[in-house]
Amino acid sequence: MGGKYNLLRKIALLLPLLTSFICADDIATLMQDYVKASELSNKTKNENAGNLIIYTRDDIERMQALTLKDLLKSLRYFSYSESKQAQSDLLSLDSYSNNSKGIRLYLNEHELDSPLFGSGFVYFGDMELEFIDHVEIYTGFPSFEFGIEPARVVIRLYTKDATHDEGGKLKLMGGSLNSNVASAYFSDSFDDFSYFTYLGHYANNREPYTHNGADLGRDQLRKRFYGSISNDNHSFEVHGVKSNNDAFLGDTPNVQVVDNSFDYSYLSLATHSKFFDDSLTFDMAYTNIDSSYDQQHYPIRPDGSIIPIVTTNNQKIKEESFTLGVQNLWNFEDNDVTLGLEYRYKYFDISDRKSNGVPTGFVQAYDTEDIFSIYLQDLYNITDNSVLSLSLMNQFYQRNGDVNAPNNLQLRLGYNYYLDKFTSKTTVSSQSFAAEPYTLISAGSSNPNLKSESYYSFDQELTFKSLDTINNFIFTFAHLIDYPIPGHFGSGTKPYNSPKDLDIITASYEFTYFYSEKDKLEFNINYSNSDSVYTTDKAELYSALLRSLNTFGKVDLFNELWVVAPAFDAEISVDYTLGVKYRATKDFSVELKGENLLDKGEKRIYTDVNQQIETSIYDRKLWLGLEYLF
Amino acid sequence: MKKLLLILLTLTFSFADDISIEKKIYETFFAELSPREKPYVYVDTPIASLELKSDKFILTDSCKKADIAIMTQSDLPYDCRKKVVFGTRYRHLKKKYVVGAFFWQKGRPNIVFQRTKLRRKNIELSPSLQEYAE
Repeated sequence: MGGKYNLLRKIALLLPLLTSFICADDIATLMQDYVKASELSNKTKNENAGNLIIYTRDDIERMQALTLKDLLKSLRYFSYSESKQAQSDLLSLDSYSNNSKGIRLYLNEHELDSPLFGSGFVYFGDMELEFIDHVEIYTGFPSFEFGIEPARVVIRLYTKDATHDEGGKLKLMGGSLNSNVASAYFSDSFDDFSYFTYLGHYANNREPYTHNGADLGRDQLRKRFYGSISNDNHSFEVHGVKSNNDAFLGDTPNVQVVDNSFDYSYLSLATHSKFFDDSLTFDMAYTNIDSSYDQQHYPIRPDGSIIPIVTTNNQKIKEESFTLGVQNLWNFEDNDVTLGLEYRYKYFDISDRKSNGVPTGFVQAYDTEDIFSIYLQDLYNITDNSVLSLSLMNQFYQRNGDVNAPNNLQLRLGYNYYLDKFTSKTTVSSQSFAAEPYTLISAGSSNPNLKSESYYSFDQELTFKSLDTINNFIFTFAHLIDYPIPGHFGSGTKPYNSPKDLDIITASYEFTYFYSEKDKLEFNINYSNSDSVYTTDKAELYSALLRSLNTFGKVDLFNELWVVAPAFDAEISVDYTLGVKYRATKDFSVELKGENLLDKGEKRIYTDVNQQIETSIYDRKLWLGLEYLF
Repeated sequence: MKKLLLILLTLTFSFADDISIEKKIYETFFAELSPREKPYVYVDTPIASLELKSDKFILTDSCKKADIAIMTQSDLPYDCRKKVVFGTRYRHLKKKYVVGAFFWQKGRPNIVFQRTKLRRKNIELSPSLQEYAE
């Protein structure tokens, strides 16, 4: 035993010498380490901002993650889900409501927002990832420094860096149900600036739901353009999407849908500037969304019988926002103080609604909103390995109508303790989320007096690292006041704030084992327990993840098993995904991926007044793809 | 034990940041491109990794004094072109006076040395760098 100990000690002492000797001679090893150390996530991640999950470029490529949905499927506590209109919704309580306003997505430095729904998650929750370098996900009521309003989950998507990706890439994929994907990007850099352009076509055809002879589709067809031009201190981005989705079960309760569709076009322009060694940043963003919804259905009488006359509903929606933000960081001896000011103007119009071609005469309660937000944070470095962070934020809402316009104060106190092999992150926060415009003005189900929902939360994360393992424990408790309950449950047609407070407990254990440079095994187990808004029962949910990423020579192998035991005795789902990627040369590869291979993936119950429909969120699907770098 | 050693080595490298590793990579090139033990290096615009302290090269702001010139812009002043010039972009390799380049392209770092241009400067690469020569 003693001999072995001495040998280890000698190795430890000789290590620096040995490594420098090997470094000096082995340029291939240096290059390998350089690739790892140059990962862009090392520069963008913010360990003090919340419970962080990073999907690096290498992870995304080896997992063959086609859209954000592939990464969010196994997100701790939450699970990617879709609304009745087959649109992304992570926090939804039921299939009608769209409650993902606490999920904030950012593309580089600007928010992918929807002025009407409060969060752009509805449009971007399953965004294609081909032009994305890496994804950072912050859970546990993250820091306020990211945006104009608080968040329950922050998802930051960073595009590929033109200076690292000089050249281009072409990708072609074909999949089950005649699905097809084609995308290309090209970038170049010059002495004073660089540019990046991306063009993508995404047609993911899904299993339709057949109901009384009608095929209710949820195919996702999108065309996307992204372009950026930047230099050391300034960047300008353009992002456009044209999308056509079959809208699955429609947006109207108590009808039998015959056919429907949903289209939207999205355009955003954004700038980001840095001054004085990046201590001062200035951001501007403009967003414009035009969407339209068409539905044909048979109305259903209260006794459940169908009125045999087809009714046609059309709605056109316009959304617009303009955001200005300035942030300054001051470094004092032990304090890093940040002050941020943001302003957002929102416009939304849902009044253009017709039934059988005749305007419904609906007048919406208000159509513009101004949000003023101020944010102050002090990161106090107590010692070399402990940081105390105190954050305050306040939003002032101005709404041009007789609706609730809150002033919300947010508080967050964090204490992080770092050792070589151990990290502890403790956070307490008080946050309020203003009701999103849609729930205040919607024709079918709105309440102009809906109050903000408030959370008081405690979050503790403990991380233990060894040479080849990471053990991570996370515990969160949240006390929720005034949760907005969708209108069609219990109180006529209006949504209302829950009269009872709700407690939510979540816990997670995550284990990662690196058994060589390119091989890792991940195991997670998650538990959540929350009060139900409808009954006195507790909603208990268990989920577990087993994921393996391996590389054997020119072959990458990806295995993922995601098991969910949902609340209220619903069926346990088992989602198994397998991916194989063969890198024939440095520039050409072929990939094959099978999703939900056991066809027992997560299902969702879509409740209507007269029917309950259970269908899968994930189809069983095979994809075959080619990619070529030039 | 072999496995433990491998993991220790891997972790030692993974603790280093990209700028320190980049400096080591440049130092390897400098040892090849100049017979001097501690060559003088000129850079046309600052590179963070070459600003780090090193006992393997000396940074100079004069091309006249330099043994090696690192090119980051599209062109170099005429008196710099006579030196051993090393580029930082793929397109720099098209210049007659650039003997090689270390650059990012297609999402990965690349090293290229051009044999004919090296020969003109009487530079012979060591076996470990031969695989990067074309």
